Amino acid sequence: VTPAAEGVVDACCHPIPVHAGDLNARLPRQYRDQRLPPPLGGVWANPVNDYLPEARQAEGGLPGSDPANLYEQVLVRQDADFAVLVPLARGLLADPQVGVALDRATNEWLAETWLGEHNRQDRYRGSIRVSPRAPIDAVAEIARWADHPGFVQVAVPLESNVTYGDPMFLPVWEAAADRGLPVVVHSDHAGGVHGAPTPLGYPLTYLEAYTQTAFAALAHLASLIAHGTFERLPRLTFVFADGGFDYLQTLIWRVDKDWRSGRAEVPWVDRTPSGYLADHVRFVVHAGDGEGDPEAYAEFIELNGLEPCLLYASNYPHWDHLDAAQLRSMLTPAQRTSILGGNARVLYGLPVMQRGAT
Amino acid sequence: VSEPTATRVVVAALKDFPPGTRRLVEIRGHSVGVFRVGDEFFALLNRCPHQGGPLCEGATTGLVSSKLGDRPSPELSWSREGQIIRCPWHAWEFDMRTGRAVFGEKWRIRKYPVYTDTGPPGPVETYETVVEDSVVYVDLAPMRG
Repeated sequence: VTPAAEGVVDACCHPIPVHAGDLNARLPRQYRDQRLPPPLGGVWANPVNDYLPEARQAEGGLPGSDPANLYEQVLVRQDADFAVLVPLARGLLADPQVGVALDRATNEWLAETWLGEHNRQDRYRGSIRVSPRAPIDAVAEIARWADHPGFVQVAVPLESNVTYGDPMFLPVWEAAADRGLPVVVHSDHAGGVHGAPTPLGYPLTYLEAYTQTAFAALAHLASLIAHGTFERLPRLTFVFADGGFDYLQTLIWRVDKDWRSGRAEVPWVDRTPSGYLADHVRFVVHAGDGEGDPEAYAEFIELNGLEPCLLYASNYPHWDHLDAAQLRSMLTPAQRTSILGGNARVLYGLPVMQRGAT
Repeated sequence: VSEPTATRVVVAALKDFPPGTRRLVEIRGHSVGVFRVGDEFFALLNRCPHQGGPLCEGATTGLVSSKLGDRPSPELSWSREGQIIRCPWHAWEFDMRTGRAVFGEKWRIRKYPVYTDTGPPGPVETYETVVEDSVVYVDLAPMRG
């Protein structure tokens, strides 16, 4: 495989603290006695392996926590110029203020470590973690980091008790949009006080929970469209980072069709709903998405005009890691340019690196 | 009552056609719906451009709209009472004034001028005085046979 003229951008990679208690130790003293859920696992942990075997560390640190490993396995192995880091939170903690304190601790940790001492080549970008259900704190946290050159987006949990189009969240999305920061939505894969992950309650197996994770993204997206969020905030982009572009397409067919009949309920939606996707919506490509046959895979993307909406991501260090070379083999040449790096470059304002200079 | 011209077809005497009512007429094999909204008349081909449903048998309604202002929850507003027709098959709304689908996307229905014989030449949309005992016509010129 010849290297891409422009290198790959890994749009979603998860740096993990070395030890589960590291972030807890960074909380203000009054919150430090809180027992936080573990960083990954929750109720529906993968029974075989949560993490990529090679991401494991010998010294007892958590997978995805070692700077040399992550550099080698993400930037070098994927031939990636940049990795966009999305640290995960711990789900919706019972007390939102504990979640807010954890967001702050996570952002300080990321700025000091991965966007600081581990970022000597300036090839990592970060995400500002906020809790949308504490909107005032979320707006303040965005303002706190927005001028830091390493942070390129705002990160929120997929888990929520209210869909993200609800006007109660508008100040948070507005704060992001005003600063040109996309909002990335990713599951915390954790316990917490959010509702059941399917409309019919709690799945009994990991297989069910895992394959239905992206349904929540669809609920958020339909809500964002229905409430006119993208009409109000023309600069807002949402990035759904748990995959599901194949689900997206069948959803948007229905939303388009039913909007023609039900327009009067949502009269502020003044373009065909699928028309918002290219301007406002990105889906990170996930190992679980779509048809396995490369020809059918590329054709599905082509047929549905999804090329401008998709971003490659490794999902490192999780077990369902997607290798850039594997995705490249599934795409047409034009799709490779945009999906493996071009779309993310535009979205996050990343420069073109001089290839072979390092 | 003057004689209809070659392209003008009599629908009803004005006095028999009160506001808020409609007439479905069969003209040269085409079904056409004629609507009186206040003192305005609209004539539409009774065939939805979507899947051919009997559009003019649908409910008439008003225009629901909204501007996204500073309020977090936008308010719905109501206007154009009676000038929106909703297809009975899939509820697509059309604006009787323009013939266009309210949702846009360049979907439109065929629309015909409606005249009364005592008014000035021109569509009744611009005719302001209703004259007793006049007659309502549909002009089929745009139908081209």
